[in-house]
Amino acid sequence: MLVEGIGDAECVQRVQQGDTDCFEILVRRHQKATFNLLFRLLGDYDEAAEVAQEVFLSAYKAIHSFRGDANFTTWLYRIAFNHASTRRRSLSLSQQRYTPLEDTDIPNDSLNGPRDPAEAAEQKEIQEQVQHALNRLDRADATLILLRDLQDVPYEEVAAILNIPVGTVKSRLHRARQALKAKLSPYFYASRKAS
Amino acid sequence: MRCEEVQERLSEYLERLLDSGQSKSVDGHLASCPRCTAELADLTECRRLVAALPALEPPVGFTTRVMAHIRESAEQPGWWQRLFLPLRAKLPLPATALLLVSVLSVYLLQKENPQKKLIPPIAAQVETEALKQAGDAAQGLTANVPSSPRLMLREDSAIAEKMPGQPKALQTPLEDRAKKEAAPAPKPAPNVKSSAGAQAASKAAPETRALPQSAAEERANRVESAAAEAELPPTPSRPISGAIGVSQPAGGRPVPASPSMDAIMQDRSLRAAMPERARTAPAQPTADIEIVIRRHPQSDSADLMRKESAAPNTGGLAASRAATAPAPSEPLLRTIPADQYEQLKKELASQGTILSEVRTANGQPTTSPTLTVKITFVPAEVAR
Repeated sequence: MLVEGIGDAECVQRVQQGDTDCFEILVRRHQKATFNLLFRLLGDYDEAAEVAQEVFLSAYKAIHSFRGDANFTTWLYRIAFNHASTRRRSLSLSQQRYTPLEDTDIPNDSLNGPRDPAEAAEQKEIQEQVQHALNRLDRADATLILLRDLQDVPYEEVAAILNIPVGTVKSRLHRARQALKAKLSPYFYASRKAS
Repeated sequence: MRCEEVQERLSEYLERLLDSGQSKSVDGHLASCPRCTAELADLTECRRLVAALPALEPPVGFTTRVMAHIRESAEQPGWWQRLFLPLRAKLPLPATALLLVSVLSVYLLQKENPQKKLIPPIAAQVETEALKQAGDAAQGLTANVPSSPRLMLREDSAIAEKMPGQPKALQTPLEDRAKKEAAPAPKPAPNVKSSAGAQAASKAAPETRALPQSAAEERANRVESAAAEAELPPTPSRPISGAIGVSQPAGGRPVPASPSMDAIMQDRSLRAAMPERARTAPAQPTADIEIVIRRHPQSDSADLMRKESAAPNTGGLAASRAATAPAPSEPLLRTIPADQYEQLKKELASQGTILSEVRTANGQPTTSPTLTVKITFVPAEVAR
């Protein structure tokens, strides 16, 4: 019997005691964030789905090594980041690789945007530009931006996920944002010109 | 505050991570610097664009698939479990194999350890005694009697081998035993010479500890044989007859077949070299009664035999005595009916003086219908 109200730590403890069903709670709770992180890191919906599945399998197999020193999400994102890096290397995904959202099998209700078709198209184009810029960033820089600006993960957890000091996270995050801004400069130039 | 310093802090300023002092300094600079203000606007737009990225839903049935894989993997045993589980099926095999190996190892160790423990001392003892024997033989010191039973047997064997022409059937049990012990010895060690010198024996001594027991025995045997060769006199050519090895063909004198142990024991040098046990080896067959007779000076054994053979009433006894006409000092073995012993005794008394009459069967009366009498004629001068 699944008890959705229990926290991550208790779920992990139950899974460690052999209650496999409790892991389903953790999957349901963290699958969307994990999948989106992977999708933004990999830029491919199917790849992201496959890697997300591997991430949860790895987390389950290594659940006995989780001692509860950090949040479960921190531990899970770290596994996701490692899997994404490995997958990118193995597939030799170039920074230019980018799968447009219309080419992916995305559930229809995933794209919540404006009802105006012109505005929706413009917003979609902007999102593609951002994703394209993220794909061309260094993986660590992209991960920093995604964890901090997309997932709103605290600095301390970002530092734990990437296994770097908090000060380093701050300085590298600034440089990563500068790099992303530079890649999105045409958009900024066009928007300023429009305004 | 310069523009570079402000732009370095814009990211933290944007997230309101600066303290109040730094934040006020940045505010003051931004109020007067359109370039840094534009930079701040771009960073804010970047954050907004990233944050505005839509959150995609995972594929339909993602959780189900993940959990299906997890439950499948949970049912599969890990590599450690695959090695040892299920114990019911896999434990008996390695356990049985381990048990068999253990039992075999213990058995082999127990079988081998006694050899390892015993071979060196025995070999060393044999070598030492052989060395002593060889040294004594070289110096003519024949009074040193070895105490090792193995060495004694081997001496017996060596002595027996020195007697040419002795049939195997007539060898004593001790000799047979010595032969049997020496027989399974493998090829001799190539570096062991058969010389009797102490040098060769001392060379062979350290190697013996590493050799199997049979090789060590043969080596000791060789040294001992050499010692016996150095010590033993030539085989006596005179006929020796005794309790052992006397064949008595019908109608003739007893033919000494070969020197027996008793004959060998008569030789002083041999007696000294022989171990005590070999010297006291039991005769075969044993006489029930031993009689020593000193002949009358005028008496002659040939005359005695002629008289006895001419007497008509002595029958088979006389014929038996004639067939075994004695030479001086040669003991005779006669087997007669028990009831004729007194008659034989009277006849012997008529030919000489009975010096001793010993019943050798430990003083116990014999129940056999026949008696074996050992008669030893002593010349008159010897008796005096």
